[in-house]
Amino acid sequence: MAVSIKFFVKRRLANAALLLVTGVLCVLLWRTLEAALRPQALYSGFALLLLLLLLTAFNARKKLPFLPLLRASHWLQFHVYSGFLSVLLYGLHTEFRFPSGTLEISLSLLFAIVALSGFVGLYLSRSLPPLMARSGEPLTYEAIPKFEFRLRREVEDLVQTTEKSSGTSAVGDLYLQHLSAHFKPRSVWASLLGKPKKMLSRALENIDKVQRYTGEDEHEVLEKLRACVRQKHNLDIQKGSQFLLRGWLFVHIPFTYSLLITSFAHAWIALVYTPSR
Amino acid sequence: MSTELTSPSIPQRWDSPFDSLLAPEIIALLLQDAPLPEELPDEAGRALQMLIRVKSAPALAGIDPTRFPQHLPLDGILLNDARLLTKDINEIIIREGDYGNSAFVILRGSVTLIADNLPAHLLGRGSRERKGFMAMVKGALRRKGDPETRVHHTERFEAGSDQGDAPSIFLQDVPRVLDGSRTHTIHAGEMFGEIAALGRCPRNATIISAEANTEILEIRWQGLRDLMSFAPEFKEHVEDRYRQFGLRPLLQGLDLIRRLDPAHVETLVQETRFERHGRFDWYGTYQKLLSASSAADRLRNEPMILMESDYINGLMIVRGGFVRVSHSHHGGEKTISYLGMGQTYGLTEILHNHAHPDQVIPAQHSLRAIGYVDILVIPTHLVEECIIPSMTPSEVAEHSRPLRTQRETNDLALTDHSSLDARDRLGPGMMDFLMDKRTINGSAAMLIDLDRCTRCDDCVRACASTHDGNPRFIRYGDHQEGVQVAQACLHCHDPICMIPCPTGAIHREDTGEVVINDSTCIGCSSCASNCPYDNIQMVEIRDEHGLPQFPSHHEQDGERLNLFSEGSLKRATKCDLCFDQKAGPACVRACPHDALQRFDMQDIDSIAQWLSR
Ligand code: SF4
Ligand code: SF4
Repeated sequence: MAVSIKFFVKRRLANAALLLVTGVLCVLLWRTLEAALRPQALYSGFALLLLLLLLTAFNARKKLPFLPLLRASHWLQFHVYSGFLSVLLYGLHTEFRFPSGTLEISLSLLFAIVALSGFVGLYLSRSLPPLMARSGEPLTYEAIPKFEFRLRREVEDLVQTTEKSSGTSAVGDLYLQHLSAHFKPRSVWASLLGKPKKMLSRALENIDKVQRYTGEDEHEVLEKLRACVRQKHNLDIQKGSQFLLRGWLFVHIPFTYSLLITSFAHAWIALVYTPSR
Repeated sequence: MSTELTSPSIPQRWDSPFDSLLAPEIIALLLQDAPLPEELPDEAGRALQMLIRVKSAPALAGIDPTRFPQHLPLDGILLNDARLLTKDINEIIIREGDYGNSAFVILRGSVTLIADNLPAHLLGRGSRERKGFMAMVKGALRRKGDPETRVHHTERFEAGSDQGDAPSIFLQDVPRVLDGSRTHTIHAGEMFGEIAALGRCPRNATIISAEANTEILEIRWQGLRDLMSFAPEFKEHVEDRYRQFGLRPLLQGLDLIRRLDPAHVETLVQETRFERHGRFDWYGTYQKLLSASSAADRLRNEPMILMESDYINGLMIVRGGFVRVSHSHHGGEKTISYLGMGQTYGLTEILHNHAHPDQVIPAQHSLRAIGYVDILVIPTHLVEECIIPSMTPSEVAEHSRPLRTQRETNDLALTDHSSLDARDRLGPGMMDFLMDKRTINGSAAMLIDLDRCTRCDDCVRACASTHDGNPRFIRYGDHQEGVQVAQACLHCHDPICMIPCPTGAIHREDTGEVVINDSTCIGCSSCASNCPYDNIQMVEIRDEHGLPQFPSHHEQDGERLNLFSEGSLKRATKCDLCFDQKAGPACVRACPHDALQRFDMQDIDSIAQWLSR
């Protein structure tokens, strides 16, 4: 039976193959230049600078949506695979040595931050959307605090009404002792580091425990509480994920510009101080 | 005769007569059972005269009033669902490409039908202009959320005082236009416009008044529908005209019929039956229906067109609207797919029965009307006589194959059209979701793959940049199985928003986009209230200093009106698919993660492919 390869897999394979071929060609060219006693560091430096400019152009493309400049998804593909290529070029350019001198160290550090944040960003962009899609209602980041507030109020109203109508404190105690922390609006960091999955299962377990010694009427309330607990879990996932998906760019973009400026300075110095042959 | 009994709290059929100038008391007076008083108020006298003249117009003359039920008398229909228009020479009555839901009967004078396509500017539409480079750069530099600015805005149209809310638009440069065009004169007593009104398709010609003071009776679709139901002679008249002018080109556009010889085509034109199912105004109730009932209830509410296991008595061609295709499954009904305009059902069964007369099979699926459906039925014997002999063996095999497959596996769907196995390709949940939400109406629905969308909002920002800082969609909306239908205009196949627009400002471009012409939009919000998907926003427009703009016609009967009493000027805005951008829809091109795509919802293959990338 013929297996049909999915579009994204096909694209990934094709791009990876292209990257591999380009990488091999770069290494061969490097070796050839080296053998021919040509200034390979100068050539690789310029290639790297050009690549950096092209990589940065992706951001400029986003600001000019009206120009017929290919789709942003094509640009992203180019950006990702050229990013990988730039790591190889950087290695060749520095001959895989540890940097020395202030400028070289700063450059290498900046490059490492930009490249690493890029890889992290790529990983987050591919792994978090499916997580958010499965966790519940899609929400806009700005609206999340409003939903948190509303949900907490809803739950507290529910608990108070149940206490009044049933005359027992089982649900009230459950809320105060085990659930109130779950429904408290959390900072993004707490949402991320507070292990939301663990918090969810703990809250659900606590509800299950109370269910054993409550009556039919309260079971209905507990069911509602379970739904609210899941909603809060979704809010935490959405908040944390969307924060990360935005946050990595706050590292990647400013450091890219710093890298670009430092690279230009490095290129200028290299050109001025390279002995002419 | 008596008027319909009305309860004050429940809106009734004739709560708002079409002719807003005819007071309900006058209508009630004219419709009362008792003889009319000698002295009639002027208004009633005029209305009575109108009734007499209208009923003697050839298009309506033969109608027998006794056939109408008591609660829906003929006079009641004519007084409540019709209005009298007086048109000046060269005034446009129907504009090619507009959607409308009225038919017209000429009472006095004549009109000219212009069959050729006329340039937009002659029709008062303004022409489609692509934005210049500098305008695009300027737009991109504006901040997201800047107020909607219209510089040197002028109101082109004012509500005509004598004809409710219909503004007057005149054809420009008439002698030259008429000189070079194919025209036809329609005389007093004749009817026009009913084909587009009943089929909810765009008008295919422009019609202007040929004389000054041409008197025309405009009948809205509710009235047309009732006339068709209770006056068989009127129905016959309408259908005859449709056969003459609308059916032939439509049939000849179908692959199976295009190749037939003229005699066979003529037979099909004469013998094709018309069927209408569902509510013409489905959009008024569907949201309520959606939230109120279960999926099974919703299904039961959809009118049955053909029941599974009924004998197939013809090839069904969908002329307008959407059809749900289902078959019985564990005591319930399982939706297989939907059919849209131009798609057919029944050929497979007919082919089978033709080849195996001793093993006749019934319909293998049930067909139900989703909203409103217009269907043509070519009787089975004519399919056998005219169509099957002209089919090539490979075509016969193609249409018969699903049946063989079904017999072999006893599971797969039996279909005429490849889209009938859509359920397998889209998944059952998705299929029902798209139908329930009526997303299937979209010709450019915005779907977002939530598994890939990083919520970066690059799409929204790109939309804002190409629309002077104001995005025309919201990245929010119903979702199912990881796919979101964003709150963006779907550019519907059945664009209900266009029906009530009094100036034709909201229109369909030749290339299919439903767009609003800002310079002819009068801000009445009819389109926004009619869009069942809430995809039109009314926005307050500002001048270049950021101040609200107010209507300029602030004098009435010589009296200066308070400038602010009518509220500030508003304009309807919505996604225009970036029709004025050289590069096409900015949202799709801006998404870096291949998460956003626009789809013609009839192209199930592409959607299925996209879902399983
Ligand atoms: S505005 Fe509404 S009804 Fe009109 S085409 Fe768009 S989605 Fe359809
Ligand atoms: S541009 Fe694409 S990834 Fe970003 S929010 Fe829009 S649809 Fe989602």
